[in-house]
Amino acid sequence: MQLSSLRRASALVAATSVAMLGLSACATGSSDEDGAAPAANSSADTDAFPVTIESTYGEATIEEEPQRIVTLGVDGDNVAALGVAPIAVQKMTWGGNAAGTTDWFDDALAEIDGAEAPELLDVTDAVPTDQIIGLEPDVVIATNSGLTQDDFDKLSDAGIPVIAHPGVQWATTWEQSMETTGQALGRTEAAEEIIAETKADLEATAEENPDIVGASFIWAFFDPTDLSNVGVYTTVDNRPAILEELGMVSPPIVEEGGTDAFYFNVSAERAAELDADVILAYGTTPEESEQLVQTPLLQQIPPIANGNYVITLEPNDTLGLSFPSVLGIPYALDHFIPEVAAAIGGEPQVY
Amino acid sequence: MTTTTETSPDLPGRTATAGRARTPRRSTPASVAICIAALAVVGVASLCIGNRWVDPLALLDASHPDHVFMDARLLRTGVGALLGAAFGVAGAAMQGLTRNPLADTGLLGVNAGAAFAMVAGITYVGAGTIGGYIWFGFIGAGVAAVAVHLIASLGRGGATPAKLVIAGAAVTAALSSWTTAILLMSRETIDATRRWQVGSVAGKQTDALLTALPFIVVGFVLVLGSARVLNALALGDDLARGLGRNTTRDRLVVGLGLVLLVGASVALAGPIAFLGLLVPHLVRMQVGGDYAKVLPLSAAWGAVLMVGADTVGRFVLPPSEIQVGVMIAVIGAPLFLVMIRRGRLGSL
Repeated sequence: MQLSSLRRASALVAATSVAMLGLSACATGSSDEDGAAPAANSSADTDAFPVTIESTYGEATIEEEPQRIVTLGVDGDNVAALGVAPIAVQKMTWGGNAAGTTDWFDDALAEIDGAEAPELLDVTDAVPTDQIIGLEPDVVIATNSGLTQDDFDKLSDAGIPVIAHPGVQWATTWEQSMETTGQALGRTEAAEEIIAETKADLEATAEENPDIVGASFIWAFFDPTDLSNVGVYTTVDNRPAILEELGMVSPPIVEEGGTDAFYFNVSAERAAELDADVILAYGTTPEESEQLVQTPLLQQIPPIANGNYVITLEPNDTLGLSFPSVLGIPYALDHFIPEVAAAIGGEPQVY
Repeated sequence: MTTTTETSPDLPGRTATAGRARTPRRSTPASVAICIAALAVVGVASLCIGNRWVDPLALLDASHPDHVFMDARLLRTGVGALLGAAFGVAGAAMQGLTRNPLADTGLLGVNAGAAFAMVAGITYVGAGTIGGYIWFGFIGAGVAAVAVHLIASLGRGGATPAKLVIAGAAVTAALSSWTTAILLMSRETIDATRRWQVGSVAGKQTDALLTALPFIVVGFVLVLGSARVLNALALGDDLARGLGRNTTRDRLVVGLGLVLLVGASVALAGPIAFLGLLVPHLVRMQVGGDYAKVLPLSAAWGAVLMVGADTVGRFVLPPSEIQVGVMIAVIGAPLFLVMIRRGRLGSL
């Protein structure tokens, strides 16, 4: 029985991390013309190589401009934004479009001359290292992904330079991802330009939605089968991080969660302490969301009682924030931030 | 452990005397009194102790701002007591049915069967409410129980206790793998089941409780009414038949009760492990092996352990809560090891 309990406990850990991954890895959406335009056909700076890039799992040295690029996580977006077509990208199994990619990635790829559709890597179970080695890539870029030390070692042993996340897993910022990708491809200047464009986009959004500046927010997730805990994303998670870039602030209860992990649980008994100007959460169906906000225990959460909530039924609308890239952020800014502003103004949004 | 095996004359062997080999340490009235006191203590603690202080008077005062929190705790305490009793009595009956001191519904594949069928139901049939997937719980629990028994019956000697445990472990392993496989293929299902999988008595809706309740009650009636049957089975099938019992029909009745109890409980709270194994042993240490005493006291102590563990899980790691399924294992495992070391496993 003990073994069985252990297995169940580890299954929980696995299931939770995969579920969290699902929350953070969601990806799809419709095309968006306002997005950071790909720096089409920018060319590499030949002096840039060899380049050595340090990540949390170890160093990687790229000897010359890589041609065959494999990406995990969101880096396919960054590579495409630099005008280069990756040969394989992570398949977006959760919320991706029918093709297993995102529309904004497809759009960026379409602007690259001679780009072919990349092979899709299914990482649901684990990173398919054998499949990647078989592709004989010049580099694997995975600045914000589920890559493990084992994966890193196996790929490195096969002679493939691997660029993993620089710090806490899943907590790489979109800027770090873009910058590092630029370094790996010898296109640091183009990367800087794209970052500047995205920042300008963020500033413009803050100006267009003045209500969000200075407003406090909690990004939460609810498990309808067990309402004893409310999951809260910490400030190291990309979702809160980007909202803070827009001028929103995290209340004390979120700061309490620390920065060691990207989420923590708060007992529903402390619902009244989850005070903020707005609460953001995921839902699956309108009925479930309605039930959620009608639950007496959860009505003790002030922003739910006051009607300052956004429940997104289509995670693709927020994925530009949860799995941020220079291509996905502009989409989320246009589609999600107005909803947040409306909720702050007292109009609850379930959509 | 090996030293204990060699030296302790106290170690239980399987006897053919319906467990009366060991003299109980306490008289039955004293055991019942202790049990009632323990129930009262955990009941009050469960209402008063939590992640934050709530005035207990808020329970009676509907206009009190904290009334809603006390309401939730009351429901949660009730669910915990009900399910603890169900898993406790199911474990005791399972041990009697198989004449195996290590039997519990978790070990013999019943929990895993219910869980697998429900995950499959949620994923492929779209069962979304407990009223929908409770049926999958019954089917899974029943099919797994029958399958384990059939596998154990293969070969010479029929379904011996040892073969039942091996078959149960094998079926549990297979079902757990399939459950994991389904979960890996469907992230939506993972989201719906990830906490349900470890077991939780919190945040249940009243209608979910009311759906499961009738099945649990019928299960209780069938199992609690089977004390004489289990006492007879404890003598061995041959003797039981000699006493005029139809052992096949007896097994079916107890088995049906078990499937109802476990299927409904797992549907409501997820597969809570360990409790069904531990509690009957604690009870036998107190009152010996007579199922007329073991069954009701296992129900009561199951409720005590479940409510107690849930209460502890609510305050040990603020600001979050630990699910009761995890707490049971955390509290129960060391307790069980101590019992084994001291050779105090009650005989059957």
